[in-house]
Amino acid sequence: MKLILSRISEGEEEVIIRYREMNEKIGTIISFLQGTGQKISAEFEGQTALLEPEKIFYLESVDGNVFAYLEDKVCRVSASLEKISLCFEERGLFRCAKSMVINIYKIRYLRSEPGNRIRATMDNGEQVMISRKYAKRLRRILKGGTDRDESV
Amino acid sequence: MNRFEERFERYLENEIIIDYKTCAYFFCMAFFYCCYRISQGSFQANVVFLFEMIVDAYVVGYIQVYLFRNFDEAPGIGRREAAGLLVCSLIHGSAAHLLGWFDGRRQAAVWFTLFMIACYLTLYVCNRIRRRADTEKLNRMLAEFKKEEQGHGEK
Repeated sequence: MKLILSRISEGEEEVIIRYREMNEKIGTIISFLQGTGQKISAEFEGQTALLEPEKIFYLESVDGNVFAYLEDKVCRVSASLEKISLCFEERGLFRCAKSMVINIYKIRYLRSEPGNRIRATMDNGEQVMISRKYAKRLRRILKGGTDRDESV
Repeated sequence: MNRFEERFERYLENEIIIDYKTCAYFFCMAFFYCCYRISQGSFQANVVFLFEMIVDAYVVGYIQVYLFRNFDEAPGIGRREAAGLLVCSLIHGSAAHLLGWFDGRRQAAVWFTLFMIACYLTLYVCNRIRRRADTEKLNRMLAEFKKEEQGHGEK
């Protein structure tokens, strides 16, 4: 594959991919550029693992350590909750409390609770209480906005 | 956000809840008072009494939120919620009798207390209905969100 790099002094940066047929390699490059191929580095049983955000049910910070809860295992993640929620917001990871990030796509049921809070039941049966402050953001995201809209 | 800001934010949230309750229950009290005045053949209300009702509703709002866990928004009525409902209604009834809102008539104060119990229960039911509707709306939005994103992924 020929690689052409061209430095520009002004104008928008762009990447043009010329391909004969879509294959796995091209697909990987595209997903990398779109940011959809990015994974979360974690530690499981002393080994480094790369987690797909889509597979994570939720992440929790316990005593300064961040743990990712998957269907059948729990891994220790080195990145902070803030960084994860910012980087993977587009892929459904949502900061629902000071010490927790949940995957919106893994929510089975939402229930409105007193005080404008929301109780989320995850696909694995775990229940997470979302405080009023974060519940407001979740409503905004579900309506089609993003978490960042609010912070602007 | 530091701890002070968090506490201040929580205080403000509670203050808004209390102000909302003050408005709702003052309206109930004023309604009963107006009915009483009309039943007595009078079309005039005492402004001082109305002011006292606002203060009473505000103070009881604090008691309701900080001592009785905001019972009219509770998921169910347990012992603590029932105690809160009775205590708050009795405070309203006692204030009505002691401050002479109903010309010192004990029977009117008793009816007023019962009326306030009914108001608390009505608001409790209304809040439950509102939450049920909100739950339905939330799950509809969640389903649409998942469907939309799935659609994007397939493109």
